[in-house]
Amino acid sequence: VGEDLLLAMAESVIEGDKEAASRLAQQAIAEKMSALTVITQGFVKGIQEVGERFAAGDCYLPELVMAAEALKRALAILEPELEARGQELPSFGKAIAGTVQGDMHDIGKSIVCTMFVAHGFEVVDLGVDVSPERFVEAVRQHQPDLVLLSALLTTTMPIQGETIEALVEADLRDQVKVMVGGAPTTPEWSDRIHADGHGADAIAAVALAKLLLDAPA
Amino acid sequence: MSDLTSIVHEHSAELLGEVGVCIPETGILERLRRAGLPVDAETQMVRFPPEALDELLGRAPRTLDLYARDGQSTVPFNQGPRFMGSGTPVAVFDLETGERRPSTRQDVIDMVRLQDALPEVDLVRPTMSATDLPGDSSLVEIADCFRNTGKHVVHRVLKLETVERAVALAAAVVGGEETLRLRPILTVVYCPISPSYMTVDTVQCVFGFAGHGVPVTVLSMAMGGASAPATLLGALVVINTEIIGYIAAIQALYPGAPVLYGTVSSMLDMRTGLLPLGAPERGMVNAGGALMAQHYDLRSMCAGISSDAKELDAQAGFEKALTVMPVLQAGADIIYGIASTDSGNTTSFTQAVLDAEMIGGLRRMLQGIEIHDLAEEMAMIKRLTPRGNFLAEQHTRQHFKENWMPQLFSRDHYAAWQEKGRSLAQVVRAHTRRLLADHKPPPLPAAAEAAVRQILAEDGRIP
Repeated sequence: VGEDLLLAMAESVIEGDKEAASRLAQQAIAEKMSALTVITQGFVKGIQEVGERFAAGDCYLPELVMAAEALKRALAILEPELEARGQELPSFGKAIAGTVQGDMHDIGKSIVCTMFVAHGFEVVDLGVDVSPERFVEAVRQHQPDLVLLSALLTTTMPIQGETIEALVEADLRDQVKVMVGGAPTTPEWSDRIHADGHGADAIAAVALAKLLLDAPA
Repeated sequence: MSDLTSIVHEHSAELLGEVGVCIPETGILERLRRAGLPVDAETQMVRFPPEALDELLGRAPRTLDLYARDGQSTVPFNQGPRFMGSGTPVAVFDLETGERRPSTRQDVIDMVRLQDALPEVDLVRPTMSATDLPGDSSLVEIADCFRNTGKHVVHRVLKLETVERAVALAAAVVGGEETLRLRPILTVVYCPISPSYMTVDTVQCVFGFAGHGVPVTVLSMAMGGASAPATLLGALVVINTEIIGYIAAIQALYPGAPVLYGTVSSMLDMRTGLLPLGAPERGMVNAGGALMAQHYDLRSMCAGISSDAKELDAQAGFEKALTVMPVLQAGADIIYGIASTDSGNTTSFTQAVLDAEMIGGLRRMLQGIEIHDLAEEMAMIKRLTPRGNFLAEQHTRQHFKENWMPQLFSRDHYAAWQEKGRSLAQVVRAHTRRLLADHKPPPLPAAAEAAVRQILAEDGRIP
């Protein structure tokens, strides 16, 4: 695969250009390039760059979120190709993430998902208003290493605890590390509901996840 | 017309006519359809054609008096903007240690008493949650408000089943449900999820309270750049649209139900994804809301006097004043924010006391230079020119109290200040302690207390 094309793929993500990202992904398939190579050496380089810029304060949320959208478009096209070849993306671990039941706040959770992807995690985003039962079901289905629970409302915070209890009752608690986040949450809250840790922001959450999973920092 | 309020209204009317607001509650949606509004059962959107919108908004009462607990005196809106406590995080800065910790029922009680003691606060909110109670602590918090302040109370409950209990509680305090309807002593606040969505629980509570004649505030918390456009004008269109849309829906089912126009919006911080409450845009956009409320002749509740600071510092002082000025100048009826710090995530006793201190100075500034007859002063000036002394004049004695005098801020000579050896934070803390130790709120009459106990026992949150 040509260096220029890989750079263009990274650039499409950096620019948050969904159309360009789709076009380049389709071109890769049409020209029978290695899906694994174009993802890891092309598109993912773009999200890594944006993640680094965001962490350094050189770019902002709209750029970060649009980059994630562009990456998602490219991955949607390329992932069936990976599966067909029985290939997997290298990953520090798999996380499922969601905003807990009764809470519609999407932004913080989406930032966290994007930063996890940018740092080499596989992420399954369950969306918002996710019930404890759906988390349990998703843990069964996806076998993640990490469960990320978001809550922005003081009234929905307790659902983080209820979700952890549901994991305990389903006998799944020992298989996963659970991290909590969201504006009203604190490390003390995390301890109180027996989570494994609290991320004050997306960058801190990534660092903590790496620590919990013994991944290289 | 090209002024701000007309532009915002025109665009809101277009949105409400074409898109509408979401009512994800089948029963209420059906009732709105039967009331003659176009609804879409699948998307659960209700729309408001322009003539219907005007007619429905016209049903909202033009004057709305909010009563003190005794059902006698009213919140004096004719004396300029009124202030209320903010709400409702789950953390507090401990008055003694300064430590940030989970807020408890005792904190709620103390904060209600403190608000009762501060003359600058007209409407009392618990300002934080009793996190030591299991589950939804709202009803206990409302009861503790009525027990510890004689002022008007503002809060909310989370589920429909608690609505009836909250109404029964307020009715027991003021002397029956009919009296409560005529003389509301409780106002509730409910936030849409911008743009123009409400959860089922919120919809049920809003319409539940409206049916009982309890004043309902539709309180927009749009986040510019996330749940609304990133421009102030575009955000104001989203804010206004959801507020008047839900108010119109309330009026369609409960004509004449008392409603307030509320906004606690701000612009998202694009570095953290958090909502800053000390941003200049916060005061600006909520001042826009105050102007819109006046456009519709509705009472407004607008956030200001808020801050992202974590302690009583320069940032707190700057942001509190910065965010309150625009809403004060816009003539908001109720300004929401007393005791709020840390972007609304932590309540502070000392900040509440400092807020009250600031309000005095800010109110004074708003008065501007009053034009009055100068005849008496001209005679005095002529008599005392040159080099005369105005200090011993009767005129001075009569008028000097019009100028603001701080209670807590230091105007001492440097040496005197040094001698006292206390920082502002220490002075404020001592004053707060004194208020809490000395202030005795008017007790709830015994019969009302017994009824409150009974209702709380049924609710089952406390022994």
